[in-house]
Amino acid sequence: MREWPLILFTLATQLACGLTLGATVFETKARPSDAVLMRPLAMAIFPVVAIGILLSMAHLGRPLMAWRALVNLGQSRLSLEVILTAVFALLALAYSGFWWMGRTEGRLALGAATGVAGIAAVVAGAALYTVPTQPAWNSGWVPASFLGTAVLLGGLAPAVLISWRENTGLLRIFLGASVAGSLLLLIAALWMMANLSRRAYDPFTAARLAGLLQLLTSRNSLWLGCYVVLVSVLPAAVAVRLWPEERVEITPFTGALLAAVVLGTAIGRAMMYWLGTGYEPF
Amino acid sequence: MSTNEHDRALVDRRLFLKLSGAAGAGVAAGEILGRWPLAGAAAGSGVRVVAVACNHNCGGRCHLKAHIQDGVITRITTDDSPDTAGRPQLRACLKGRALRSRLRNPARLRYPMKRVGQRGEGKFQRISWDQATEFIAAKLKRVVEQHGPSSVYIQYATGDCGAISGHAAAQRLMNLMGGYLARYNSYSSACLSYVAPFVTGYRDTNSYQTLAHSKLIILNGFNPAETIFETNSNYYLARAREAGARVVVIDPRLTETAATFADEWLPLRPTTDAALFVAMAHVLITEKLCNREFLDKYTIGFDEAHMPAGVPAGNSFESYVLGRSDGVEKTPEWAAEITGIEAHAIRNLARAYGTLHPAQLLQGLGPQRHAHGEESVRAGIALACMTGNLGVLGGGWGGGEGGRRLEIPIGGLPTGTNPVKTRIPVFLWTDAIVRGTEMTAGDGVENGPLASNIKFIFNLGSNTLVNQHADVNRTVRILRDEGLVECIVVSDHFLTPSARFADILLPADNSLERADIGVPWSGERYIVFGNKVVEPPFECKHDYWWLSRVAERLGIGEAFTQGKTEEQWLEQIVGDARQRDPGFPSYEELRERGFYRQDPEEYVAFEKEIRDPAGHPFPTPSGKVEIFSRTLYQRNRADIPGVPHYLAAWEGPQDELSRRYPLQCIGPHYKRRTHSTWDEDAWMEEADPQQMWISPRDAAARGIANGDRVKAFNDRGALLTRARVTRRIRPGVVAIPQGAWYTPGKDGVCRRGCVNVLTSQQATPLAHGNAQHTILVEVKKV
Amino acid sequence: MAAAPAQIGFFVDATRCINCKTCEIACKDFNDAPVGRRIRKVRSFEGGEFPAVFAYNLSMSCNHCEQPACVEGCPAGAYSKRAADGIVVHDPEKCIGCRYCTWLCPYGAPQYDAREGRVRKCNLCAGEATPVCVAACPMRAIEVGPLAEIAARPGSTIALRDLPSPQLTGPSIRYRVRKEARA
Repeated sequence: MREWPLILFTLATQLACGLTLGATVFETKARPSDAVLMRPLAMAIFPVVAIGILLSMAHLGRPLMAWRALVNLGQSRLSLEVILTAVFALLALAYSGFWWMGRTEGRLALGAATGVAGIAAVVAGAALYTVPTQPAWNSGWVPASFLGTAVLLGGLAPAVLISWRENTGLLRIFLGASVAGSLLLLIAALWMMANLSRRAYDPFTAARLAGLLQLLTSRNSLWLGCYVVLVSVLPAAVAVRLWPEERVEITPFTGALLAAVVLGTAIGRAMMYWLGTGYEPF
Repeated sequence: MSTNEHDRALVDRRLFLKLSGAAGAGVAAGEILGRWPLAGAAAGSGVRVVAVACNHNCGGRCHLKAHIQDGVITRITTDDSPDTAGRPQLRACLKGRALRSRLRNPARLRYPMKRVGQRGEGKFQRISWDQATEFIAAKLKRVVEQHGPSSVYIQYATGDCGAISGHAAAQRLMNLMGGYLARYNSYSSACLSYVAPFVTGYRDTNSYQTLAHSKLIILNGFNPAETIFETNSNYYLARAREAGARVVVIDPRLTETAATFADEWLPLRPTTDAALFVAMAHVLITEKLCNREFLDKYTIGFDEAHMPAGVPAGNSFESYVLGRSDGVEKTPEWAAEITGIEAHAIRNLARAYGTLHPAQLLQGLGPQRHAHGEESVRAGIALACMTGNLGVLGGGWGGGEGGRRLEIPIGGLPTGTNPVKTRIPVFLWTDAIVRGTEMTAGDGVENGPLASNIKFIFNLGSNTLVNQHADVNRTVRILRDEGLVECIVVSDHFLTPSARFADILLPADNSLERADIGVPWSGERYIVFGNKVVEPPFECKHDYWWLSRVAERLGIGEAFTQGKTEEQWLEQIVGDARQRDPGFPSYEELRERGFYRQDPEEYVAFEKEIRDPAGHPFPTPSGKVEIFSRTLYQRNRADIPGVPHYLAAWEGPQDELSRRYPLQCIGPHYKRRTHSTWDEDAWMEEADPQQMWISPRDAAARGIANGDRVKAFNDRGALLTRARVTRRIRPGVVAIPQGAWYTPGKDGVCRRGCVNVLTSQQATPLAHGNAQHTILVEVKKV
Repeated sequence: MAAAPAQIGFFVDATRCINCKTCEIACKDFNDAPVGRRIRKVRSFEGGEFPAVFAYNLSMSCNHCEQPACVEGCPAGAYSKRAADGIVVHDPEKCIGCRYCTWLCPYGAPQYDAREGRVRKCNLCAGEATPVCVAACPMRAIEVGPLAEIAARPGSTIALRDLPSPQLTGPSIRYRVRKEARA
């Protein structure tokens, strides 16, 4: 997929945003002595978003001129997204730093601020796509998908990567979040298909979108099916499995499950890019 | 359904790059050629704009200019003299505009080479020019001594249509060595040029400016929008249409011409044009729409009352049409069965042709490049006469370029006289290799018999040797036998399919790398001049140069060159032209301006014969248009009738063979190539990739979707190509544009889609012409 | 974005267009565009049922829109719309090759060149007396002039079956087409 840098970048930002929210929630709910369980994941927030940003530069034809992306801040949604992501990254640097250094004072507030910045970055990212000249994307399903990904990954990663000990309530919050994220993604997928079937567009656009829907449900139906299974069935299975547990061990299996779900989100993201760029505009 | 998916690259780009890949190794993909400093250019000079020529076998001959900065060509522009209705600019087509792209193709041949391995393997080793000319001189001398001069054949070559082409230089050389086996006809217009004189005495067509006066224009297999017939032919056609002319296109495809200009499209089955015309004649006769006065005054053979003496009754055209001689009335219903055109459409067209006056019938060269192509030509002329549409402004009949008498009187390199008088039809050269001495007048040999089979071939700026001749598989089998042809000398820019069969392969210079004159086909009075603007790269040389060296070695150097360089010959040619036409510019003026042009005129073919038949009879035996030709009648052959007939084509829709190979296949010209020139160019491939047109019905029956890779095959060979599924072609017909380079895999299947692996070497009965569009195939998905 | 007072636009007489692609190649030659970058492109369309089939061709480069999505969306400010004549100019020096414009343009005008790492677009041959496509077309089917005059010509339209809605960006182009091509 040609847009792999952007697929990875958007997933990274959304994962980092989700982890930030997760870490903040963890901090509010967990016993202070248990906070250390969240440390590895929270430390990972900044590297994840930083790597994501570096990968996004691989998308540029002239990466060394990347700074120019801020020039049109007053007008361009892309400039706005770049600046908001940069703000998120800076805050994440501090936030991950706090976790790394074990500094708890002000960490909750910082986490909240970083989380807000993360949401802003994710929403700004979605706004790039909801433009009138891209009718396949110009719909609420894109922000729903982006936020859903953040919530899904932000819920699932801690659920399966933390060795839970008697924090059932918190575990269930994360499992619930991952299921909520899945639901949001399913809603987004249905919304996306409804958008492709809209009659309100001009005939050219309507025909174009109908053609895409047809391809999606025939030639690409296998990918769509994989996506749905990986981002909904797997997290639901995990939730069902882990819901009653008090102790959860990290195993390679649970790691693999997470990887599979991440793969699912990548497949979905790839299909999103295909919807908007996989053909000639007219 | 929007089919802009066609424009999505159907290019199998990796395959394309591989096929057009470097003969010269070691060139980086992006390396730019064509940037050698111009000899003598001052460093840091400003932009110079210099006239250049595009001299391939195209009907246009457009005015182009190279913009040169610091010795590098930065862009190409075209005629920018005032563009007026009376004198429209000579604007280049997409190919002319891509001259820089062609010039910098890294696959350019670089050095003289000698074959190693088997002929046709395409394996060569580099040699020097000295070694090359020595080899050629020695071999030529030995072959001529052993087999006589008529064992030397100078292949039909139109890759370079300049005045000093390699092809002309080779003729000059051979005429100093006793001659060479001559030929007649062309691959373009064999049936037309051979048969038209039997009907009208000579071949001629109106100029396109006369279209503005026509009320009805019938284009029969005539596609100027894709095959440039004249630089401005489409422009004049558009103007005619805007002036109110009704345009009807008869063609198996909705060509670009049909799509843009036609009010009506008659999608007939290939090979059946004569049936359509004969049925139209039936309508004209039975509905009393014939111009009897015209027929009586200017023609013979139309009806029984106007037949030459001594011919039995029932042999007139009218008798044939009305079925008096064979019991079959050639009604529109009869023709509908054969042509696939509805009877009412045939009737309507005939009525229109009979009532809208004046009307022009322009026949392209496609319909005559078929089995019995002679008949569609004759039938067309007959129809034009029946409606009084010959020799009148806005009326007329034309075959393709028609050989109008509009040329500027300018010659080329003088070639001398060929002492060998024996001539073969150009299409039968492979026969002349295998059984030349056994060929007879029945094969079309003139002044025979041949003293020898062909033993030596010059193939200079030509892809006829392999790619453009019919039945590639048969041809390469013949060429591979070194006992048959002993030596093949090829010069070209690239390693073409023909070049692979060279024994000596020579790198030629490009039209931007030398000076030359360009003479168009005959539509308007102008010529162009192309200056040399870059040095030839590596060791590329003009054919005249190395042929001079060969001549020296043969002891006829002085006679060959007369001490002149190519440029001096050009000066002489221009000087001679000035003698004939005082308005002709001097050499310096011509170089500077880049063209010499007289105002276009409304040229009406056969105008004087119609205006003053007594003073200007048609140069036929009877002095009139011979709808019935006694000469042909006396051949006493069913396939060479006295009057135009519809004759069912071998390998046509009525042939038994269509049970096994149910699809007719034609090989139309393609706008992104000139025959096989430009197949190697990446810009051209991007603009229009090689692909096969197939109707949705035929595609669906074979499980073929748009863009699928498919195989087209018959008993003679097979090729692979991509399918373009389109409504724009008649079901039962596929079209594979001709000129794609023959690129066989190990299994002999052509990977690029060279239609000539499917075509047949069977010649037409009268003209001995190429029936290269008469093919039956099957297609399947791979 | 306020409309330029003397917005320049294209007029293409598609009823004359023979799909010869001379405009595409002339443009490529002028812009040194490699394979893969078709700054002007001719697209063909067909319809009807055999034998009542029709086909037509639309030649298009950049439509120098009145509300250009590229100008608004480019993060690097590489696009600008000239005040005097409304030509949308792309400055390759400022381009970072993010290709966002290729997503935003409804017409595919910006063409990304992977070799150079940036986009190029029709700049209406700014600096030439006549745009190259206009001078090249053997059918004289392409013209450039004041959009107001072009839009007022009888038969000129931008509401085409095979184009996205002109409401999106207000393209400064009008076509003359056969009736089947109209929206």
